[in-house]
Parts: sequence; C-alpha cells; structure tokens
Amino acid sequence: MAGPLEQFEVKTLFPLEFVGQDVSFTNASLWMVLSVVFVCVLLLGSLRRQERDDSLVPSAWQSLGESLYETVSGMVQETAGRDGRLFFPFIFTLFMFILAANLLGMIPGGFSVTSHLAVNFSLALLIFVGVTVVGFARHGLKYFGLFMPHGAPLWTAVILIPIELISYCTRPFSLALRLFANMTVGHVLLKVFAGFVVPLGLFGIVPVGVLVALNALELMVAVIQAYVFSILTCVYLSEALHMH
Amino acid sequence: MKEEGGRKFDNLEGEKALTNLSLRIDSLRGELGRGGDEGDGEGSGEGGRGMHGGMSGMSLGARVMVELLVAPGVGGVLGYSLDGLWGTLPLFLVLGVVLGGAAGVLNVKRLSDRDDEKREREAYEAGDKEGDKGGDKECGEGRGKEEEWQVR
Repeated sequence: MAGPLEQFEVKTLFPLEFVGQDVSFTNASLWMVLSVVFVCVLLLGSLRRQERDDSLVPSAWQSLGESLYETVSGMVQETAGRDGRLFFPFIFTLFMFILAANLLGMIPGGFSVTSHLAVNFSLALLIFVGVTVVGFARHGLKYFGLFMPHGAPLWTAVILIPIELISYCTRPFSLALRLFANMTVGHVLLKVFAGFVVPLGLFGIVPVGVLVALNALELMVAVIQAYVFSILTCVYLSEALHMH
Repeated sequence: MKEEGGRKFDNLEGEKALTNLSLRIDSLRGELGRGGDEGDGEGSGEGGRGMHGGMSGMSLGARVMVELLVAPGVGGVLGYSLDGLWGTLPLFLVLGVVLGGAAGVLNVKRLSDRDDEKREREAYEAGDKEGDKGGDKECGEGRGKEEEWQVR
C-alpha cells in the first residue's frame, strides 16, 4: 500500500544536464507539458470551423471556449478595470494553466503539478515581480505611496510602513501556499480514504461513498483555486494600476 | 460584405434568424424572470454570483487562514534576515513577527472589505436589473447596446 505522500514524489523520466545544472525531464515536467497541450487542444478545438458555416448555434466545444473566455474577461474587467484589459492574455493563460494542471491532477494515477510549492511559488513570484514592475512603470517613485495609507497621521508611518511592507511581501507566499495547501490536502485526503476501502472489507462501501463525494469536492476546489489564483492576480494588478 | 450579391442574401437571412433568436431569448428570459437570469450568471461566469453561494465559505475560510499564518512568517523571516545583517538577533525577529501579525489582520480586513464591496455592487446591479433594464453600469449598458444592435 503506497503512502499518502508518495503521489507527490518527483521522479526523473529523462536525465538531462545543462551547463552543470540538473534539468531532467521529470513527471512534474511531463504533467505541465500535458496541461499546456490540454489547454491548446481545448482552445484550438473551440476555434474550429463548424460543418455548417452559417449555423447560429455554437457547438458545445465553442460554447465551452467562449464561456471560459467570458469568465476570465469579466473577472479582469470587473477587478482590474478597463486598463487591466491589457493584461488579459496573461491572466487567461495563468487561469487556464492552473485549471488544467489542477484538473489533470484529478485523474487517478496523475500527478498534480500545483501541489508543489516550487511550481506555485515560481508562478506567484513571477506575478509579484511583474506587478511591482507595472506599478513602478506606471507611477514611478509615487508607487511607494502604496505603503502609506491616505489620511493617516504622519507619526503612525513608523508602524504603518513596516506593516504595509510586510503585507505587500506576503503576497507571493500566500498566493503560492493557498493553492499548494488546497491541492495537497485534497489529494492526501483522497489517498487516505482510499486506503480504508480494502481493509474494511464489506464495510469498505462507506469510504467509497465518501470518496465519491470527496472527488466532487476536489473537482470544485480545483476550479475555485484556479479562479482564486487569477482573481488575486487581478486584484494585485488593479492596485498596481490604480494605487488604492 | 454588402458588395457581394450572393453573400448579402445569406447575411440578411442570417440577420433575420439572429433577430428571431435574440427575441426568443429575450421572451424566454422574461418568462423565466429572475430565475433564468441567475442561471445565466452561473453558467457563463461562476465568479460573479456563484462564488458567494454555499461552498465558497470554506474557500474564504482557507484564504483567511493562509493570510493569518503566512504574514507573521514572512515578517519573522524579514526580521531575522535584518538581525543577521546587523547582529541584533532577537529584536527585529520579534518585531517582524508582531508586525507580520498586524499585516495579516490588515490583509483579512481588506479581504472582507472587497467582499462587502462586491456584494453591495451585486445587490445594486440586481436591483437595477429588476427596475430598469438599461442600467448606468458599464457592463449593463454594453449588453443593452449589443441587444439593440442585434434587434436592429
């Protein structure tokens, strides 16, 4: 019986070395590539021309692509505002990648890439640095004003600036950790309950029932966490763009 | 497109069909009333209304927990590295953890502010939709125009 944490093990598939660095192709790399391929197939498929050129009702595939687009586009517009539209391609890519990685991780025997802090933190750090660069590019040195709330008395700056600074630096960590915790906990829980099924014999039906419910919950968490990750990116972006 | 004779006919037919479809959708929406509207919101973008219902409470809770746990940690690490730099070991570590805790609470407060704001806006939009279809909100106006264009 495999332990509940074995599913997260990174195994080397093709050993590779580049300038003295270990850049082996691992199962994590494989599932990231699979996620990208999955997203590409999904979206390119939704762009496919229909058999009847003039049919008004979109195919199910096209509707899926459109509703994904509209969800993210609505989110960007609502959260980051009109000038946030500029960053829509990035947010959409981010959302689709995390969604695909989360959902592919739900396949039994699959590997959920987003349950690895290295992956999540790289994404979060990219966003953190990107957002900071956008903020400075747009506001110049005035961007430091973000660390001093409006209308606060000057002497409180001694406390407020460190607090705001820490709160700002927390972002990549909380972003990465949230996704990591959600995915890891879900998969560990699934594995633990799966471990009860056979030893319980006839009563194994009870954990199976729990597993069915957990699977549904995990699918929902996969979608929600992808959404939360990208909406928080939008929120940070909005702050960098409008400074409030 | 209008220059091509054969194409024009197709387009006209298509436009007519589109008009019919949009009229039908409108009438069906009207019949369904608010129920239909809600279903639409959940289908096209679960972010809008769907996120607040039911299970989102758990994910909100997880977010709050992560904020509260991470902030003192980050503060502590920042403080500890400052201590390493200046050789004042306990001072900035303690300060960092305490200020980090404050930052965590601040983040949670902002989270709840955002949530309140969103809820208020949604309530406002829902009320607006019931009363007058062409709201003064940007998205509402855009949709109204689009529908008008299609009917025309």
